[in-house]
Amino acid sequence: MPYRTVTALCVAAWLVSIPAGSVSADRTAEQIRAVQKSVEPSTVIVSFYIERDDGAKADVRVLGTVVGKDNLVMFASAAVPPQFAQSQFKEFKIIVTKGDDLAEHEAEYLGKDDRAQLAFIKVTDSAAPALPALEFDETARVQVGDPLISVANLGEPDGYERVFQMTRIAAEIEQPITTYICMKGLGSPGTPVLTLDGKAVGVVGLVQINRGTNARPQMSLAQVLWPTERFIERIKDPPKGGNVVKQPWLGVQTLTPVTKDLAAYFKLGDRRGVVVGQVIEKSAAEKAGIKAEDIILAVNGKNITGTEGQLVENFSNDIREREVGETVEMEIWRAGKTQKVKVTLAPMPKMVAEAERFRDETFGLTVREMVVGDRLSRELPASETGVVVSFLNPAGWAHDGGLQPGDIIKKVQDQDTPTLAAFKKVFRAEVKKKPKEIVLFVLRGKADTQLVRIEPRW
Amino acid sequence: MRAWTLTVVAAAMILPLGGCGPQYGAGSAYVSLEVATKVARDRVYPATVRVDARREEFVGGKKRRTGGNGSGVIFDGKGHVLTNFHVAGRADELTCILFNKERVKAKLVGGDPWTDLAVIQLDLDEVKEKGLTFEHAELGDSDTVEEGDSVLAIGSPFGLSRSISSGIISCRDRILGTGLETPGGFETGLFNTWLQTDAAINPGNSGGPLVNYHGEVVGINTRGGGNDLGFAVPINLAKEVVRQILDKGKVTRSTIGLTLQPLQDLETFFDVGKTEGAVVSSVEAEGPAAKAGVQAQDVLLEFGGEKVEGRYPEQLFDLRRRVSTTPIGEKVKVKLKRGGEVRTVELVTEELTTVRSKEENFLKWGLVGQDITDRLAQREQLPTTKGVYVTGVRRGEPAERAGVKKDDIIVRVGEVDVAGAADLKRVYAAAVKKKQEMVLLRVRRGQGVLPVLLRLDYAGEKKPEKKTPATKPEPPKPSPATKPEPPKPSPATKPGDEVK
Repeated sequence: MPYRTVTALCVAAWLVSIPAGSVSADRTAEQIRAVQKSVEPSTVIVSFYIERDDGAKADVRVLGTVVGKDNLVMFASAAVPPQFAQSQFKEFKIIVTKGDDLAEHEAEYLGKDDRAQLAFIKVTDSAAPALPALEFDETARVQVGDPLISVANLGEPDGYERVFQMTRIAAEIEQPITTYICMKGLGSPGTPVLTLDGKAVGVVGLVQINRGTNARPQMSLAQVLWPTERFIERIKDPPKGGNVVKQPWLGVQTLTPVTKDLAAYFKLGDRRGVVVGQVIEKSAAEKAGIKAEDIILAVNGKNITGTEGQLVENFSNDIREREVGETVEMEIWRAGKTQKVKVTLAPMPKMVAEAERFRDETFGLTVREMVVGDRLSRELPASETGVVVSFLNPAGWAHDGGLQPGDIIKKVQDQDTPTLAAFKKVFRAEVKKKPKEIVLFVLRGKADTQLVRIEPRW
Repeated sequence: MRAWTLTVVAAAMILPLGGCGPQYGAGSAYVSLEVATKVARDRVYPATVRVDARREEFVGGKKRRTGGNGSGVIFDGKGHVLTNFHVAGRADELTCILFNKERVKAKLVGGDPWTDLAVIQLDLDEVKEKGLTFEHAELGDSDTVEEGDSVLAIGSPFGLSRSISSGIISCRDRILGTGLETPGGFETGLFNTWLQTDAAINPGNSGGPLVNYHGEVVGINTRGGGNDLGFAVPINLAKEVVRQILDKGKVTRSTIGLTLQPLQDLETFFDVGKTEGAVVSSVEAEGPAAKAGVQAQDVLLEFGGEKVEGRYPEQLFDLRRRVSTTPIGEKVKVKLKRGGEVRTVELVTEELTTVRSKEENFLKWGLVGQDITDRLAQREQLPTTKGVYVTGVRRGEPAERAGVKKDDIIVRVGEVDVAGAADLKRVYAAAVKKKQEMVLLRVRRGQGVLPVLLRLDYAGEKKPEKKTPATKPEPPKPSPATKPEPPKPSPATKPGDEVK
């Protein structure tokens, strides 16, 4: 009989009222150790750096999980933030424990999926050992009160030692998608979460939670258990070539819920829906004939439901969960009449992260192509063209000439630069002449145009 | 130079009396400075007043009585007082405290936010009734002012009446950048450079005179930046404003709807002479310039037959002033250079509006709104001037609870389009009369249009809003010198006069 059990029995003899839990606490410890033993070999440290436009490098080290053969590793997509181009993430590696030492193996960036909140790399180093993949469980169901084990890690000085923390499910959020709020003790986003009997039920995810009202929202970001069903398909079919997995896009903006009061006003009875505030030019919604002020009541015959605060999210999520190219039928209420329209969901337009960039080191200038998001956030018409200044070296030539980040360059030396290709061509040709000055015509803010004169110091 | 002679004569007269004090040699700078100060003082000090202003305004959608005090200078025998727009321009109750400590009511004659100036007039009946007398100051010529000229700032810093501070002109044509606003959100400073002085200008000095040593008013103290940086509106511009206000109670200006950029260093690019023209940097949509086909990147060579010189930013103020003083609706020939080609186009000036217009209170809905002026539409890049611009929503009232926000634009009520505040007032009155319990507003926010349903309760009819007493002027609390920061000149009014 182990010494500890003897002690426990002695104490039990003294205290008749000792809770039975003290025995099961040991059982929990054993369970955690079992999880540690089975999960630890599947965890690695994902290492890379973000090369900023000015050449500065920011190292990133996050916990990754091996999820497939040939050392396919996933980690949080939050580690590859959208303000950087995919090409700015460099030198991916995994770090694994090798005896008392750490070994590094080169890896290739595969891309990310913001819907699954995960990014993927694959180890390319042939010398790397084949690491066991952690199998995620699609069938296990969890509920409020269930204990969970979350995996985290210490830093480099401690050899990235893994940390196993226990938590419990505190609440289930059903809408718009099922996630679970936990008590304290969840690790970083993207790290695995397991039950006490060792089933991997998900990873740590991030969701926006509104703790206010519709009229006065108080949004905050909460760490949750992001269940396996949210990302299992992506593990089976990971992105390729460093790309962002395209999400379906309808192209409507400024959505407001049909509240009980609005439903009564429009005589919609028990039906609910979302009111379209803006239809983005050239979007799927516009092509399908959806107009601002339309009320979308149902998608593929399924009514939009939920509390007033959930309607918009539920609808957006319904669209987000669909596939690019899918055709859906929407029931729309317009001026007292309902009608049905068919919409073919388009791929999400290019994001800032995907925008192509052009950098000129001499001028200390990085520009990128304009994306739909630029026009929307700055309320510019769809016809607006140019390239966006994304970075300026402090005290560089372009900076000293008065160019500002966010400026949209429309002309270089009086020649139109509607696209990045046009800009590259014109700019390169002009720079070749080593001119005394380069004059740019830029759009600043919503409508202020200005001339910016750059004086090169050749 | 008349005033200079006067100083010398005065000095000569006073010198012999200096026996009881320390002796200074004749012509000593010390004596002449002291004497000159006194001459200046004696000519303007008795004409300077403290202005106490009260007004009604909307703060957070709520009607409030607010007020503060500033300074002013009487400039004629009829008791006209020149002061700042941000002191008195929107006041409905004005009191002046004269040099002799007597109080007299005054009324607003007119104001001009663009130059931050206002003219008020003492109640002459009250003056007569009380048997009061007042003096008036002479308005000088700000064009002759030079850097280094000694000046006095007279006024009521922190409400301390009859205060004089002295300094010199630190810069005669300071530009303070664009985007300046008066308290209350009026754009200002587009047509003037500023006289910068190190004479102390504190909150409460606003509207007071900046006086040269000849005893003439050369500027109206308007903004202070701390660290011995004060800014006054040059009096020559003020004289033009005064003329218009006395003439028609307001100042009107023309606009041609374009923004200019100095030519400096761009002359090679445009292939023009160093002092030839100013660059059109942007053209307002549907403005006079756009209608005449003017484009951004044109070089403006002539305006109304006169050559344009816009090499430095300082020169653009002059040009803007020239444009603004052209009669409204006048056809003006404008010579432009575009590429290698010089062309002349004719444009028709339009009236320049301010971003603010009269706020209307929609009490039962809990919101305050105004018409969308051309200027506001331009600043906010609105596609049209139709609609009502929400300037405030009251917390806890129907509009706020339904989600209406400040800066939203109400474009429709139910099925009725709303062109402006007067339209909305009618729809509102009808809805209130019918005791309509649900009112659907369509509001434009950004590029989207949202439905907002107001739920109204007529059961417990509320009493009309109570008039809250205006805040009392605080006792002077000279603030300690703050850490040296780059100056950000703010209007020199008393605290408590701040409008959020």
